[in-house]
Amino acid sequence: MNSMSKSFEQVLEEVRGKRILVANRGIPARRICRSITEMFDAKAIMTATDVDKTSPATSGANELLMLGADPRAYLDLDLIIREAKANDVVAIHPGWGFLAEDDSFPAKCKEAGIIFIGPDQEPMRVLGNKVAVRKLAIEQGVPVVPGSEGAVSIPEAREIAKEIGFPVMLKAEGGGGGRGIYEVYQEEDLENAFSKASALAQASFGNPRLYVEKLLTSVRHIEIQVIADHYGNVFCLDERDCSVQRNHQKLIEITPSPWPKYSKELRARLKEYARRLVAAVGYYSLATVEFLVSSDGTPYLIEVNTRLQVEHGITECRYGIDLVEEQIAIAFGAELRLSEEKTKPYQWAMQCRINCEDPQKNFEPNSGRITRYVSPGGQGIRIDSCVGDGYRFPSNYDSAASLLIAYGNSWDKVVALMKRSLREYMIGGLKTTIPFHRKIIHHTKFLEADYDTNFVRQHYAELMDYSDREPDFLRMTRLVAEISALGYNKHVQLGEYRGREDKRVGRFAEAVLPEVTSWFEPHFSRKMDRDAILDTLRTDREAGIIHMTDTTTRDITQSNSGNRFRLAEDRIIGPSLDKCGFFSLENGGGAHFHVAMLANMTYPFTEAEEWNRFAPNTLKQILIRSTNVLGYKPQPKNVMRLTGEMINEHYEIIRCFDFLNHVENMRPFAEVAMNSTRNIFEPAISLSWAKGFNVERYLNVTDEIVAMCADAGGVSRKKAERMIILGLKDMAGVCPPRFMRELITSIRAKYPELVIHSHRHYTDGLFVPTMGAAAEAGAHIVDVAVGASVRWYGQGEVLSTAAYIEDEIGLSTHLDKDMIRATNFQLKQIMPYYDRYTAPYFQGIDHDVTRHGMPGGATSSSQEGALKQGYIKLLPYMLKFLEKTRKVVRYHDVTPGSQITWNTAFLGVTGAFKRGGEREVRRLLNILDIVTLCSEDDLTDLEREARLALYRDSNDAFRNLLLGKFGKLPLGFPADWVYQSAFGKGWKDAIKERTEASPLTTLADVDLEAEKKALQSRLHRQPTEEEFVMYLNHPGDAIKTIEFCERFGDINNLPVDIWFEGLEKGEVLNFQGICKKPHRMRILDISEPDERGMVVVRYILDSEIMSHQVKVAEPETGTRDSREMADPSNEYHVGSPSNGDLWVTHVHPGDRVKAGEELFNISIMKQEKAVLSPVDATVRRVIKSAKYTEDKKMVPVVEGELIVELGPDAGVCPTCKFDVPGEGCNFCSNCGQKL
Amino acid sequence: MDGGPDRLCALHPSWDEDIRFFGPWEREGGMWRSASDCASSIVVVEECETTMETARRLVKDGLLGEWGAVVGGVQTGGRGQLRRPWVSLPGNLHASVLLPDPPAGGAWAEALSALLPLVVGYMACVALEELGVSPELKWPNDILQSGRKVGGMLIEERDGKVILGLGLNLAGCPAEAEMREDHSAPAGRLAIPSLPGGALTLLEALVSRGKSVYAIMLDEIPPTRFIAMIERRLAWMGRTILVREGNEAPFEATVSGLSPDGGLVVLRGEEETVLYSGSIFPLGVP
Repeated sequence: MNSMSKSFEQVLEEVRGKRILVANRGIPARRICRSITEMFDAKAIMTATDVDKTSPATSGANELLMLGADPRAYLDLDLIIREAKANDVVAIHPGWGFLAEDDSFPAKCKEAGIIFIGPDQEPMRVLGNKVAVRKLAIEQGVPVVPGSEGAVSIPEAREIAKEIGFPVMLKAEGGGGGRGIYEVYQEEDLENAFSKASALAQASFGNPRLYVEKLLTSVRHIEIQVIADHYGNVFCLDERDCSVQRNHQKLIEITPSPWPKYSKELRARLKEYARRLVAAVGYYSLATVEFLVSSDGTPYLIEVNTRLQVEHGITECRYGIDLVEEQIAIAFGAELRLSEEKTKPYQWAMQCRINCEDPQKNFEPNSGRITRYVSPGGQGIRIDSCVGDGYRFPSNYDSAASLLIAYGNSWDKVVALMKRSLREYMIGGLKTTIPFHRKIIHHTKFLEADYDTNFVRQHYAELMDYSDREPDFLRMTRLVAEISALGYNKHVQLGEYRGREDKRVGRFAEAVLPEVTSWFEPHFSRKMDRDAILDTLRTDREAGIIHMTDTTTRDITQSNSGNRFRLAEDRIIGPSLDKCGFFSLENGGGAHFHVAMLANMTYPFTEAEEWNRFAPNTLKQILIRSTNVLGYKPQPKNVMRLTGEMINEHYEIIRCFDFLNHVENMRPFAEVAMNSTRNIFEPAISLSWAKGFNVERYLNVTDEIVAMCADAGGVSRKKAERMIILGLKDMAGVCPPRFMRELITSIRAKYPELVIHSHRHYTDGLFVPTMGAAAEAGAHIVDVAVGASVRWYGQGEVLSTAAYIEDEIGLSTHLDKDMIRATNFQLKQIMPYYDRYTAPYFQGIDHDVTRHGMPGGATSSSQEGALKQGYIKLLPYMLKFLEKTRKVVRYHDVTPGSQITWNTAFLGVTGAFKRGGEREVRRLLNILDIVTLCSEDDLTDLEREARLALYRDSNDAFRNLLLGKFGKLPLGFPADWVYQSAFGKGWKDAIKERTEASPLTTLADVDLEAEKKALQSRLHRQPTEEEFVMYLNHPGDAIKTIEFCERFGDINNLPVDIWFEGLEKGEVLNFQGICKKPHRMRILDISEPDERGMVVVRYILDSEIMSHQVKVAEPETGTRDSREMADPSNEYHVGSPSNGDLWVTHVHPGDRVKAGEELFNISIMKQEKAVLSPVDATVRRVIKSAKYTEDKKMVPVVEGELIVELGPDAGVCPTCKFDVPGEGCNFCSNCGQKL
Repeated sequence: MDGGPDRLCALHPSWDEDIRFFGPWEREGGMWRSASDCASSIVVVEECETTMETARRLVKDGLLGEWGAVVGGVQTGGRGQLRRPWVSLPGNLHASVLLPDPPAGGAWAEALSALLPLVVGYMACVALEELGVSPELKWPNDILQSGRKVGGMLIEERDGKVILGLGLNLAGCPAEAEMREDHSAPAGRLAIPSLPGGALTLLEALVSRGKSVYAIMLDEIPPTRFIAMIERRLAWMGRTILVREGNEAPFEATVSGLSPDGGLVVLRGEEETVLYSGSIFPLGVP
């Protein structure tokens, strides 16, 4: 022992009770304080700014040394030393970061008589300076990366680059930690790169000087931890492999290196180099010597870190030592205790840096409240963290949240431990790098240790492909909290349908199914192929047996309430329906697909797949809308095909209709289905009952269908007749029994082998006799539903229809009626919730449907819409308009035609009402009467002029219909005056433009790759095939559903009462998460709303107390609720381009503005944005206005908020040529001329 | 006289050197365009209402490209934000610069619009630092030197074109009595240890430096790191200030940093609030 030296024990004695300051924060501060208090029994004092004074890291300290409000105070060296001195501090540890590498720190400590726990100034300066250490290395025979000696000029750089060869790096002299590095691959780029890199260095580090180094393209980052004392004892510990980096920032550190090429010889060499450097400058304390090792095992020194390092913990685990303790002891003069003999490695260790960053958003730092913190633990895990439950992670400092270390006796063990602990680790409320680490640790290349520092860059897309989600059951309880606080579920899109205190339907218990004993043998199963199924239908019909399709879970609930069941209810009712003996179950398609996303927050095909699991026997049936498939407008062929393939996978019977009976529109589906032996194509004829739509016409359509199917399947017509089912779709419910009898008889006569499936709605009240007539005339299958779900606008009831067919007609059915009764009882337990919350205003037979023709659910929903918009008094006129317009423009009353007709009527009538009140409306209907009753020749010129008002208010869908964009109109284009009315001045062009070709021939294919990319960038991950198909059909609602599911999980794990009503305080909800584990939730309290309109729901989930904030009202101050947003698709709506302050508006209502004229100006952070008029127009409304220069008042506005509403120029007065202020004026404001 | 904008020399002696250095001059309407070999075009107008309007007109007519600048000798109606008057003393720098269109892709495509006021403030700081000044930035972009406001900036966007207005008190500053009553920092004159000329020289330094800083930032520095870089230059960190926001009652708070979208984060009691508008006034002694 050196005469001056002390033993470790002596130092222990010396330091006991003394005050040691850690001039740092967060993880390093806590880590170091722990060592200070553990062994030395010293007083650990930690610096803290106001932001940090209550942070979890401070728990490690005995005392805080407050640095004040400036968050940058950790950099204020003089302040820290001054305060330390005033507080009797004997030693200061700088930690890492902040001042740890400032070589004036040890000097100033010395000056103040304080021990600096670190190296001396001079050795620190030499080893810490990249240029100096390089020089030293060359002297000491330590290999360095070839490059310039010190900073260079451009010509020098060129010279050196030539010498060492490209690629090279330009490195900032003042840079560090991987920052300020610029790569140059060829000589041509050098000049440009140099000036950029220099400017960058100046901007980042205040020093523009650069030096040149060879760029090593495939290297590992390997470093040696060294510890040395005052007496020349140096000990080198085994390497740490820090090759997993992103932009030179370390992410994962491992010791020893798992790299298969890493050898004992290399380890010895690196240790020897490290020892030489440290010894050469008489360095003591901890240091890390960093090397790059090329793929052939050649090492190059890059730099020396003269401080404790973030990744020191893995070395401690490898050796079972405490480096900080040693470092402190050495600072106080102890002799180094570590030596080759005594200090042997025996473990593997790995560290993941857990940062509050969002990897999927380019590692953007995250700050905010940590709402949940579950730390991993158990065997082989060490955590150094600075966060905890409820901590508000500040934005002022770096994003390090914790260092997670796993250690064990082999690489495999360490990996297994790390996998497990990353799975256990939960940090909620903000984004962290945990899921990203999970991806790395599962990557094969990582496990094989076969990578270099480019690992993250090379596998970026793969590593980013994850969803960062908390456990589903936790996410779902937040939804329950939200529904409970609001009293209603805003996601079902039914408005505020109940309040929190309102009476409930009550708790939903498992719906009981009465026991049924039965020997029923069904005639069909999903195991049969197409021919077997169709043959059975034909033989059964020969024998007088009529089969039935059940629509309980699709069309009927859809039509009656617009909100068909969730998958949760389907799971209850589906297994029972499966046993009733139905030919098929219609469980998908139509609006069902859209509603799955829109209101039920469920993936439609995932749902279909599950149906086939819980109801495995009965055939499944879907309804698709020819070219519109599952949407509301024609889809290009490639989208149809993609969707079609997914449909065929989950449904056996594909019913397809076209509202124009334009048979070509169904062809892509016919092609897919006709060429499958499992799927049965069911093209359906859309039925109306009106002049011109007679039996002969529908027979023609049947001919076209058979011919098209024959063509699509490459078979004869006779063969095609045997391969398909013909659907008859009376969606409005208007065709009377005699008509159906006549129609089906005729079809059967012409096509005796063709299977006929009759579908209609109940609206006219004649469902049962009509289906009876259909059956009698030869239909094979009729659509029905189970009793408790039957209302007026969907299908009729199964048992009554069966009774009529059996009793009255004398045919038979094949159903398990007891099972149907039992299912009906089960259904009765579910329906009250849907009836209470989703039923429409109008509920009842509406025989007027035979006049107005509004089909199914549209009967009630459209009339309800008129009522809600305050037009109930105009409703009779609208219905009248509907009745008459159907004689002018002729097509069928099914989706989307029915919507187009309704909108045309609604817009026509309300438009007339706005122009001239009820008198104008009556005039409009009067002229509509005249044009439908009189022939063209009988009309007067005045009447011809007047009829142009009929379609002036129609919308684009109606105009597109007239142009033939949906397909060929069944009875040809309407008269020219209709175009004149709908298109105004451009009507002749419209007539030229119209076409009778199928939209399929002109719709360009969608660029699927581009669409997928768009979705991917939106989701920040790879979408699934199903998500992609959802997105192609309904982009907005698909994204909404995907985001909802990411946020709340699978809502089908919630019972129906909770879904509609939420949970009452004190009530218990037992539910299962996705992995079937049972969970229990109880709400403790729902607070009163605060001034921001927020309530806090406190609840117990299993054994944790959780809280969730829900916005239940608008903030008290401010007028947010009256905030009107600009409609981005309306060019007359001019909104605010960003959040900010409106400080001047230049226009007033009635002003005429030219395109490009400034309307108003928004100021944000001294940035003034002029908002210009997009068009020549008249100002209709100025929603918010300001004149800051006069009254010094600004008006806060939000992005997209409507500020000015423009309208089309109303033109000039015909008499005096004065500008007419707006469309609402009936008289010229200048001369009084009636306009 | 066709030699150049010589009338300017009568305004303030500092113009002499500049006019010679940036010559020769080409006459263009009532203005002069420097034909010297500098980084971007400089147009000088001896007298105008405000360089903002002059620049706007030149941009509209296609006569001013990216980073092109209009420098005014005398402004008869100089303005700051919200049409507040800006006192234009002879010899001071009053200029308007056309900023480049925002990048179409990359991290800055979305971020720039919100951060632009800070970006230009940062550009000016870096350029001044190279001239030996240690400026501080009062959020979002007032230039302070030793606690006094020595310059201000204004950004006006119209029709997708963004013009930066710069006012730097090089020769003199308005007297206390001339200042708006609720000004937040006293006015001061910008002292530059190593400026070899006058307003034009300063402008040229600002533009050429600004241009490269801007290009590099957009290429190399992610917005989040930029926020950290600018925080270092932010005035009044940790200090108590009075915040006057809109028409609300003013409140006391402590400056604590910047939000990722450039707002000023202040601590109001325990609560963090982010400001995007309003004025801040320092309270008490630092």
